[in-house]
Amino acid sequence: MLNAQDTLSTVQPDSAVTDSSNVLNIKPKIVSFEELFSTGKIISSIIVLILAFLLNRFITFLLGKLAENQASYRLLIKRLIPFLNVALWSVALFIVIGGIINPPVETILTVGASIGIAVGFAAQDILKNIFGGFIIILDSPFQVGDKIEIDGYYGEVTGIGLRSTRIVTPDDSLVTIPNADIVNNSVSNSNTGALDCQVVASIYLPADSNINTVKEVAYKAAISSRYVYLNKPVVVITENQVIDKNYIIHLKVKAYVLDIRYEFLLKGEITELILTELNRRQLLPRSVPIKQPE
Amino acid sequence: MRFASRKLRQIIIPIQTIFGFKIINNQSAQKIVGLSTFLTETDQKIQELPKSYRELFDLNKQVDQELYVNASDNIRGVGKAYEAWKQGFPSSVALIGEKGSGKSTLSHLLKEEYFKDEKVINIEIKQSTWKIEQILSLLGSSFEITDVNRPETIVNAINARDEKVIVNLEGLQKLYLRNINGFDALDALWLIISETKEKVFWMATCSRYAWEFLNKIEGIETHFTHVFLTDALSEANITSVILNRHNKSVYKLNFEADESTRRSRNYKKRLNDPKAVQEYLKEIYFERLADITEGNTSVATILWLRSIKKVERRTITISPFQPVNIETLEILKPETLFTLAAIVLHDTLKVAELCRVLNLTLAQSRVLLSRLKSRGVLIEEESGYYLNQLVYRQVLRLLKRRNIIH
Repeated sequence: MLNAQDTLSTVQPDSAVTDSSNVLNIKPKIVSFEELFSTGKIISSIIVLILAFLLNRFITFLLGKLAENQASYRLLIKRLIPFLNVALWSVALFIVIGGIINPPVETILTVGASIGIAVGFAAQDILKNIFGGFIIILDSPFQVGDKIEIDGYYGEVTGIGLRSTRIVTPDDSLVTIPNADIVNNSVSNSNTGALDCQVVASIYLPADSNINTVKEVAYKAAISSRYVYLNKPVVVITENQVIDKNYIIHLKVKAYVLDIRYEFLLKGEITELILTELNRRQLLPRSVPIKQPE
Repeated sequence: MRFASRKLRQIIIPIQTIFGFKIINNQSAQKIVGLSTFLTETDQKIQELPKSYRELFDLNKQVDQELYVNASDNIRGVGKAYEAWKQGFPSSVALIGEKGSGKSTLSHLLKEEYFKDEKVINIEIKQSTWKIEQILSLLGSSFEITDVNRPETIVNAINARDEKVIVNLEGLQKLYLRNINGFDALDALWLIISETKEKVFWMATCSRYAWEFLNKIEGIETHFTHVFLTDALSEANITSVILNRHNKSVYKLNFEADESTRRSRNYKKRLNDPKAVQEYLKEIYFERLADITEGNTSVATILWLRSIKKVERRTITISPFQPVNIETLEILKPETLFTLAAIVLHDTLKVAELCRVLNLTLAQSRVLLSRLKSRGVLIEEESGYYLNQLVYRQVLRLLKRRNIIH
């Protein structure tokens, strides 16, 4: 195996002969490059990175527990996690580069340029995701604990990492979305940091239904639900729709849930209560809906 | 070494509690049992006190003006509303406050002071009355009206009378059930109140959280021209509520210090003067009592009686004030919290009523209520289950923290 000095003498014999003073100037820098990555420094760097990883996991776990135990500050605490992750990794990298390896500025520039070119070609997507992660953390279109919809997936944000963002869908699937995709797509955020969010329950009724009675039943169903958040208004609206040449009344009950975790429970309870009551009052259709005239 | 370990434990235990790492071990389980026993044996402990002293703090006994702490000058406020009604202004009054905050006491004193020469119809709603037939029948019997098929017939009958009358309606919170069909009685009552304001001076009491709930869903305060709060007592008011009663007894007070107070510099520097020590301990006790009761008279009274450690000759010893920590009672599951919220909104609930409110089966409701009863959080009486006053404030704080009541 050739060492750096041999490589230099074999690769550049002409220049070495023509200008031997240049070789003498370069030599000490190459020796320092060897020292730069001595076994001791590599082991120290690995230990620092492992410690940073473990500390990161521990802090994430601790804040997660704290958030679950302090219900009213849940979202606030969870939002701190991505910031702390980035801060912790930045400190760890600073310690490794500035404290342990401690390279001269020229080396940093050279290595940086080389990595820049290599990574620029080979790891474009990873870099895009990492920059996307920074943009998400700084721009905050959503935060941990929010309910978002992106790319056809709807769920609660459980983590914002440097490469990807994770959301848990209502059917308890964990979806990992690359940050670059999030930055390049539009994101719908249901609660933007608040514990409550709006829930819309839909009921389809024939056009000849008694609208006033149905609206009253729908309103009372919404305010009776244990999950409803009454500091924000409950609204019942109707829309006329034509589906398969049939006139249909689309009843929408818009209410806020007191905790986003009960979102689907509220939606389900409002729907059940309305349908049960309309059935009890025999207001639900047993006939074919009215057809639109040809 | 032992000192260091004890110090470390003192620091670690609160941190564990904050982060939710505290594991229910045998010792904690025993603590829960001890706490539940403490909560359930309140009546028995109070019964052990001297009868004369007990009667001074009897919450069911009507108090006279001398013992009543008239915060915010509510009596005068209602009096003004009444004078305006007599002059033709259609006034109606609502007295709002937490359970046990003195709404009934205030209405009783008003009857004694302002309405003693007037005809007063007292309607006390003791059980859930949420069906329209129930409220019409109740009003019919109170006004001696036979035709009570519809609200309009009652309105016509009242307006056809020559005499004006005062109606003292106690317990609006029992006139609804948080259920899709549970608001019919209230709807009928609003119609009757709005149509008879000139003939009837309506004075209604309602518990605070039911009032706030009804206000959000249908704007209950629009039906009343004057609203008075009975649960806004200050620390000085709460101290007066207790000491006014105590001073009628023959007993002297002796306050005990807890561990942290004994260690404090303020306590140590008074040690040479026993009188100053007692004054200091008394001040600390009432400061903590006012903080936990937040202006609720009956909660303060129960806590005071429960703080009595012993009665010897003419001296009552008051143990250091230690509010019950309900977080150790394992009541933090969502269904339990929703049950507690339902009870706060209705004051009292029976098993069948809880079924309707939370859309549960009878068996589920029974299990939920009896579990809370066995923990000492709820008390069961003929009228239904209601919150133990010893944990009233803690439950409210917990439900507010969880965004369930506001």
